[in-house]
Amino acid sequence: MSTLEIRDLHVEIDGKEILKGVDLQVRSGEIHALMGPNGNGKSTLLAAIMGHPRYVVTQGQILFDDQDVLAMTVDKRSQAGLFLGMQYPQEVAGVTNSDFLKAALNSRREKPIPLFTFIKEMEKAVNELEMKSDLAHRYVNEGFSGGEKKRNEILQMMLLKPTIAMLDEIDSGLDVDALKIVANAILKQMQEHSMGLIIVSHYDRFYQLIQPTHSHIMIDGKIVMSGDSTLVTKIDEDGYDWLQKELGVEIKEIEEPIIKRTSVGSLGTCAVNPKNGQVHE
Amino acid sequence: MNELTNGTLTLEPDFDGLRQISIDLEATQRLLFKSSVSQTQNLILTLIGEGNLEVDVEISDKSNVSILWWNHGIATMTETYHVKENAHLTLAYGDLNNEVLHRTSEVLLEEFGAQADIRSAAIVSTLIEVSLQLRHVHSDTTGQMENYAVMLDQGNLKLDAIGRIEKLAPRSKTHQVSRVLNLAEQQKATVYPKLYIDNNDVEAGHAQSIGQIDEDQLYYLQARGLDRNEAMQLIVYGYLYPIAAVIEEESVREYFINQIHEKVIATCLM
Repeated sequence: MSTLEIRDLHVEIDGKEILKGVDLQVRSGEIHALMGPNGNGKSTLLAAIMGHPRYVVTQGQILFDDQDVLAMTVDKRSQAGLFLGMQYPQEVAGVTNSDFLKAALNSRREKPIPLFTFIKEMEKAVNELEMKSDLAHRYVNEGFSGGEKKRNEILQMMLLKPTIAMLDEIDSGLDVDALKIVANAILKQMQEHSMGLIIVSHYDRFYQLIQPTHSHIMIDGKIVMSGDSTLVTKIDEDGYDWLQKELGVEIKEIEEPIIKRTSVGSLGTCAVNPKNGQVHE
Repeated sequence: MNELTNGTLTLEPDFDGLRQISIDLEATQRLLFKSSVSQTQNLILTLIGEGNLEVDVEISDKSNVSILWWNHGIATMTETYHVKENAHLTLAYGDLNNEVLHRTSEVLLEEFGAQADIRSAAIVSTLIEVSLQLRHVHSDTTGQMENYAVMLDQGNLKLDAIGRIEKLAPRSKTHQVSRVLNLAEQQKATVYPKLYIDNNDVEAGHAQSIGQIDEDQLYYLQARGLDRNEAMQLIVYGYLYPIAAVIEEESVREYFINQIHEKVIATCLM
């Protein structure tokens, strides 16, 4: 039994406080749904737990089985058993999925994974997720559709077998069939090794398939309400307005500026300086 | 037989497949090679020692030749390649061994249908000064050039990438891409992409980029358990890899890829 515990977490991005005191406890085998309007801190919480360098923790603690997560580098957090399925997975040109995954697996093993074992595990996951068989030889996320990128996140999760997995809008970009495939793969992981889950999603359909054991609503950088799976249904049916009355908090949807830096890989027909070249999606 | 007389090394023109030759710059000042007509020939040329080298190569009619220069020496090179009718030259440079290099290369597309692909990969931690020119002398010639460099501390890269289409070379195509990846503060990279075009009926393009390693990419790889160094290695390897991947001849390509892989691992662990 493993526990991830977040205590009074405050997080800033570029000097602006986004999380204003979050408390949350997730044990293995539990599924936590994290809901709330856009721009209220859900993704920030997940990124801060994983250790994104832009997210600065100014107060509070994150403990994972009594290890001080905030003292660990990003790679050590991953090796310890934390996983974040990202909303916007990065593309890495020239690096094949297979080389990337081998390196990721070997980072948590004493001896490198035997090639045969690796190929078997990879094939199994690719089949289960109904992905294209040439996946291993394609460059990481390059030229992938939105849905393929999300499945690739789940594939990584299946191979790395984390203790606690956090999935940030992993269902967006997936059609109904793909959603079922992904949900089944996640549930199978849970059965096989009692993984704990934190899920951020805007869609009731995904929660219906996954059936959260706990649910939380995050408003303005704080968890303002927690409950069981009935809360998910209520939000789906009634939205967030009733909370405003009940809790006396103002609820704002904040546009998240999605700024994706162009990687060095992209070229214009003339000089491009990726430092200045920003693409707004 | 290859012959070395008074500092001039003349490569045997008639061979099949792949030849690997080590060239000692202390003993060799001149290299001559003329490919066999209609033959497919591959050369891996490794430079060692210190000195000047003049290179004169003729790619004969309808031959398909790939030449990979693997630089282990401290070289000042002046090269001329003459590409003849319907011949194809793939010219690849691996400058990954931290040695000072001055190189001026001219690839002349001299006859109808001549084609040249130039690829260079460099890891720069000292002075590398290179001028690469694709010169379209005849009509209906095609040239493509791609230069990728990774800048390390104290690296100084000066690169002139030149595409020149002469007046009597209509229907020629020339394209070039130069990319520089900065891994250090104390470095200097100057890239001049140049196109000189004296005919209106041509196709030409150039692209250039200079940039830092992407922190979001590093984070992504680290979030899967790779430490910062391993993540850098993968990204740098992935950056240089496409240079090698396009080389058609399998033996030359594999050699190049393996060498790049080794070099990147050695470099990033410094």
